[in-house]
Order: sequence, then C-alpha cells, then structure tokens
Amino acid sequence: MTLGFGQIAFLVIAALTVAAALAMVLARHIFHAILLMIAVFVGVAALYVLLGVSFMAGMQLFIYVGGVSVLAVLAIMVTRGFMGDRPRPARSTHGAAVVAAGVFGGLTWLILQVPWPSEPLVPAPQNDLALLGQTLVSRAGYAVPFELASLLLFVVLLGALYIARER
Amino acid sequence: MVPLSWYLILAAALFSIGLYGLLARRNLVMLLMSLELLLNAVNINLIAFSRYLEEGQVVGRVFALFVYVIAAAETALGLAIMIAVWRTRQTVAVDEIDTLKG
Amino acid sequence: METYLRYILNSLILLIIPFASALILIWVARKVIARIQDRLGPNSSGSWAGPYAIFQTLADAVKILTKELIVPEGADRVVFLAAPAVVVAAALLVWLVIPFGPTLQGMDPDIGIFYVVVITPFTLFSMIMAGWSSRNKYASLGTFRAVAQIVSYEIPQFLSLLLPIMLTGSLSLQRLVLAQQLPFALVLPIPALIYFLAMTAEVGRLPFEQAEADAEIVAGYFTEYSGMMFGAFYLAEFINNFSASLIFATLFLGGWRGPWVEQIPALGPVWLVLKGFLVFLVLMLFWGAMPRLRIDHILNFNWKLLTPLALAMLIVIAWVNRLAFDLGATTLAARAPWLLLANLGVGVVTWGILRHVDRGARRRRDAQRFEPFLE
Repeated sequence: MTLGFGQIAFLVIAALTVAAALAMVLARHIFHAILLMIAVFVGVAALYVLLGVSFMAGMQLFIYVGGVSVLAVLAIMVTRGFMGDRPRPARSTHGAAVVAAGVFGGLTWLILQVPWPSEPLVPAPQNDLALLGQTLVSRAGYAVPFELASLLLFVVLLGALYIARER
Repeated sequence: MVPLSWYLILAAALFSIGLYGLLARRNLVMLLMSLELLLNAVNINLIAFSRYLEEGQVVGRVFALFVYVIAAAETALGLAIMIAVWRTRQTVAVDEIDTLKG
Repeated sequence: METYLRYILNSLILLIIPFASALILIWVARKVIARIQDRLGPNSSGSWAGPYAIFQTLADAVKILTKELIVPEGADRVVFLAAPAVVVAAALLVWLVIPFGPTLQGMDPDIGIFYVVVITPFTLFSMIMAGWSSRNKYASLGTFRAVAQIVSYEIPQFLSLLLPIMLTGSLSLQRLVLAQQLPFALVLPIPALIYFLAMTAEVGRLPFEQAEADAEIVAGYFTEYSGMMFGAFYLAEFINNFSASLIFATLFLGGWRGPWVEQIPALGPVWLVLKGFLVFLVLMLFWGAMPRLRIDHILNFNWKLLTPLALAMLIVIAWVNRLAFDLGATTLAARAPWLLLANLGVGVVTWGILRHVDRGARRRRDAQRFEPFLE
C-alpha cells in the first residue's frame, strides 16, 4: 500500500493522539492529565480537518477545549485535587488493563471482518454548512431534538448552579 | 486515501484507553475525563461513518453535535456534584465516598 | 507550485508581520499613553534612540533577550516553560485568516470567523498553565480572575458576532468583507458596541484589565516570569490587541474596503491597517484614561447587561431582518433603515430599564443613608 500524504498525516496525528490519551490515563498529577486531554482533543480536531469536516473540528475545539477543559481546571483548582500526591493504597489495576485490552482486541477483530470502503463516497464537501444547518433546524430534520437539547442544557445549567452553590 | 477501518480502529483504541481510565483511576475528575475520551471515540466513529458512507445527507454529523451537547452538559453537572461532594466530604476519591455502602 | 507559494506567503505572514507591527505599536502605545498623561514618553534627549525614539522598542527587546531566565524551584518545569510558547502561538495563528485584500489572505477556511473565536481558549490555557505552574499565591489569584473574565466575555462576543454573520449568510471572513456595501457598524451600532466592549475584556485592556492588574496582584499570572518569557507574554498581548482590532475592523468597519480599492487592489491592506489602527488607538485611549474595574463589577456588567442585551439584539435583528426581506428590501442598503430602527428601539428600551433600575437602587440607598435621621 503506497503511503500518500493523507495517510502519513493520519498516522502521525493518530499516533500522537493515542500517545497523549495513554499518558493521560496513566498520569500521576491531575493537572498534567488535563493538559494531555487537551492534546487529545486537538488531535481529534486535526483528524476532523483531515476528514474535511472543518466545522466539526471547530465545534470540537470550542466545546471541549474552550468549555469542558476550562471547567475541569476550575474544578480541580477549587477542590485542590492534587490526588496524585497522596499515597494510593495498593490497588491492582491489572484487571482494568485486561478488560481494556480485551475490548480493544474484540473491536478490532470485528472491524476487520467487514469490507469497509477505502474512499469516501463524496469528495471533500464544498459548503455543506448550509446542509448541516437545514438538517438541524428544519421540521423535516431534527428540530425537535434540537429544542430538547436546548431544554436539556437549560436544566443542566439550573441544576449545576443549585448543586454547587455556596451554602 | 485513508481507509475507513483505520479511523474505526483509532476510535476503538481511544475507547479502550478511556475504559481503562474509567476503571482504574480513583479521582472523580479523572473519571469524568475518561468519559470524555469515550465520547470522543464515539464522535470519531460517527463522523467517519458520515463522511464515508453518507451521500447527500449529514445525519452523522448532526448526531455528533448532539453528543457534544450531552457530553458538555454531563461534564458540567458531574463537576458540580464533585464540588458539592468535596465540600461535605473533603475527598474526591471514589473509593472513599462510600457512606451508602451496606 | 502555486500551493508552495501560498505556504511561503503564509509563513511570511505568520513570522514577520505580527512581530514588526508589534514593535511599531508598542512605541505608538507608549507615546500615546504618555501624551494622555501629560508627559513626553520615550524621546531622544540623553542617549540616542532614533528621532522620537522610534528604536526604543528594539532596544528594549535586546535588553529583555539578555536577561536571565529564572524558573522558580517549586514550579512545574515543563508547563512553566511551555506557557509562553502557547500564548505566542495562539496570538500568531489568528493572523492567518485576516483578509488583507481581495485576494490577499493567508487562508480562507469555511469556518472563518469561527476559527478566530476558537483560538481564544488557547490564550486562556496559556494563562492557566502560567498561573498554575508558578505555584504562587498571587499568580493563582490572577489566574482565577483572568479566567473568569475571559470565559464570561466570550459569550457576548460570540452572540454579537452572530449578527454580521446573519446578515452575510456565511462564516467566511472574505465573504463578510464583500457583503459590506455599508459598514456593519452603521447598520448594527449596538452589536458593534457590544463586540467592542467584549473584545476589550477579552484582550485584557483597561477598564477590564484583570489579567495584569499592576497595583493589585503584583503582575497577575505572570508574576514569576522573567527575561524573554515575560517578553513573550508582553509581545503576545500586543499582537493580540492588534489582531483583535483588525478583526473588529473586518467585521464591522468594512475590512479592506475603501475608496479606489477596485482600481488599485494594493490599497486594500492600507485601508485595513488604517481602520485597525484607529480601533487600536481607541483601545490605547481607554488604557490611558480609564481606571480599572473591580472583578465583581466586571462580571456583573457582563451577565446583567451585555449578555441579555446581546440575546435581545439577536432575536430582534433576526426578526426585523426577515421582515424587511419579506417586504421586498433585498439589498443591505435597503434593509439598513429597518435595522437601524430596530437598534434604536432596543437601545431606548435598555436605557429605560437601566434608568428604572437606577432610580430604584438610588431610592433604596438614600433611604438607608437617611434612616438614622428620620427618628
């Protein structure tokens, strides 16, 4: 199989992302784990750009890096969760590693059974933001789940404010 | 071009790494972040499928957008609960929060 | 071959233009602030630094390069050293999408303005990295406040940004400039004002300067930084200021549009830089003339005034725009009176609400003050 530019780019980004994810779950200090999580998010966004869906890459960066990561950092600042510094009781994580490896092995075997296409059906989309927008808010599309999602966000906003308020 | 199976295997790898993080770590924030890894893996799958197998419609990406919304909402709420737990119990290690244990 | 030329052009844009403009602008800033404060600023009486001391910034840069880089002992080394690199990278990346002319642009992704919005969290993260890894009480305080301010003001910035996008129908920055037969600031004055205030808060300029509150918390999140690392933060701040001014000029003031641009395309960058420079000058005037607001005032201002106002503007303008469109006014100039009227209406209503609230608060405050005397 000839390695074209797209494939090399994919391999590099994928390797960096997986390495960052591994480093994240094995990190000692939780602040490093959050920074590595941001690296994973950026890697996934780069993959989306490679796929041609730049809007989803932008959303990924905006929501995850700009929202979730900042939340996580503020949460550990408030709780001073330097959990990595506390001595942990002798707790074997071998079971978890076996389960994770097993899941990975099973999924990969399943994936390789199916003859997936190796070319995308449609070449890089020109300007499908309009199509995405229409699918999202048109009546024949997903307008009702869209409104339900906004309701969900509202409820979560109220709930989080109430749960975390100062007593 | 990049075969679809590569994207799926990458997503599977991220999923299992997230699963390991979920099972093996004690800190609540680590658990929430491993959950984010799982959801990211799912999103990669959805978007890869949408690009490679869909023609003329973008349902996969709409689904991925909803997953983003739910992931952000659940992380926010999880961290709020964690702050509340920290205020009462002064710990965020999941094996130390066991008052309901019979 | 053409793509390689494009890459070379982009690298030039990234490497040379921001730094060169920062060097000039730091000098301009110091001169302007000095004149506001009734003094001369850097000048050449004494040792020679060029006429009007235009080489002063260069001398400062050389000086800062020769200072020792100190890493505090308890600090987290890798993160501490990475933070300045991240902030400079974030400041530079925005320049790639600014349309300097009809065809002069680093790149024009589909998600143009969204890309600019997305780069802001990386500046935020460099602040968090700097504040956290310094392990310093003042640095942590500075980080908390700066993060709260930046995260809060992202919302009215994004909401007021949606209005030019709505009038254009596309996220791409080049299309945004092409759609401005009338500059959007004339058509949408209130969103332009909201965006300007939110932008001032985002880049950390007075009166919203929490990130580096000199008199309050030493130097905020970069207390522990010395030498070129501090220089990197300072430089990145100025580069950010100018790129934010350029983005404002692109969004609301018409970008590279101006007289005679169709005949001489090379005039495009000139007009854009002129407009961006005007906005930058206004930022400098704020810096010289305004006091610093307290953090709870800043957050109140955002959540109680700017965000509801931006939301109300979004709803009203969307409705009025559609109404005007359906009633036959298809070009921007034809819809302009409708939109201006809508802006005026929302402005009057807001002013009325503010007066009502102020009257109630004043009545309560006077009642408290005069209570001991009413015995």
